[in-house]
Amino acid sequence: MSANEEVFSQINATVNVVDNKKRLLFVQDSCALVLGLVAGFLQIESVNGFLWFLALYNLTNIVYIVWICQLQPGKFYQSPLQDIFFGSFFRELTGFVMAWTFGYALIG
Amino acid sequence: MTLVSKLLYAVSTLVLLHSGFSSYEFHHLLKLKSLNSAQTVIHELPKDIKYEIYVGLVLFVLAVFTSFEKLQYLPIESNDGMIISEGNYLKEIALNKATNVDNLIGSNPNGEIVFTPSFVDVHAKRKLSREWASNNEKKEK
Repeated sequence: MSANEEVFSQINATVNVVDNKKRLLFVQDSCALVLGLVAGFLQIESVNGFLWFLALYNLTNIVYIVWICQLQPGKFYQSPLQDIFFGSFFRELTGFVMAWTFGYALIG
Repeated sequence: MTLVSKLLYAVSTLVLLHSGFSSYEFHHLLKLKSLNSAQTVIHELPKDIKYEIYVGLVLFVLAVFTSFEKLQYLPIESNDGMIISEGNYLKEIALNKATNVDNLIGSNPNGEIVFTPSFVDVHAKRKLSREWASNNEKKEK
């Protein structure tokens, strides 16, 4: 492979990068909200709620990698670990806490 | 969104609503009971309600994942209606792979600029069509 071809193979299509991120965000947003709601329904309290979120959020991401990315996340994301696991972690955590407190107050 | 996904969304919403109401009723009764008697035997949510909540959660997550369909493309110029699919749920990001789809379906990603009337070489197009027309006339004669 010539130097030019190598450089060209590293260029990414921005439209596809953005599109894939949007799809991932839809999965993470909806799952985090329902996880929070369910944590509220179960009346989970204190650190158990955060452990519940951590475990199931990561499980959802793993299922996403296996099912949707077909075990090749590198083909669809620039840095899979960063984009899938950490990129929107705090966004989902805040969404989870919001739904958790809402569900908890609704039931309790 | 697939039909399976829609069905799963509907079922999971119903299951979650029902389990939420069951949980609400249980905690409400627990409060009343604790007001009437000092000793409360049950503290935890009954297993059937727990399982219902888990089932609702699993169904919802399944609904989200089944809403993804393998990407399919219909070529612009072909008339036989053949649909092209690379078997992926997402779009490949490498530019040399991303352009494969455009090439297969005959789409020009720079079409917005290339086909803008101001940028089209009208004289060249007219010359081309005149040549084609004159050639056809000769053949007909």
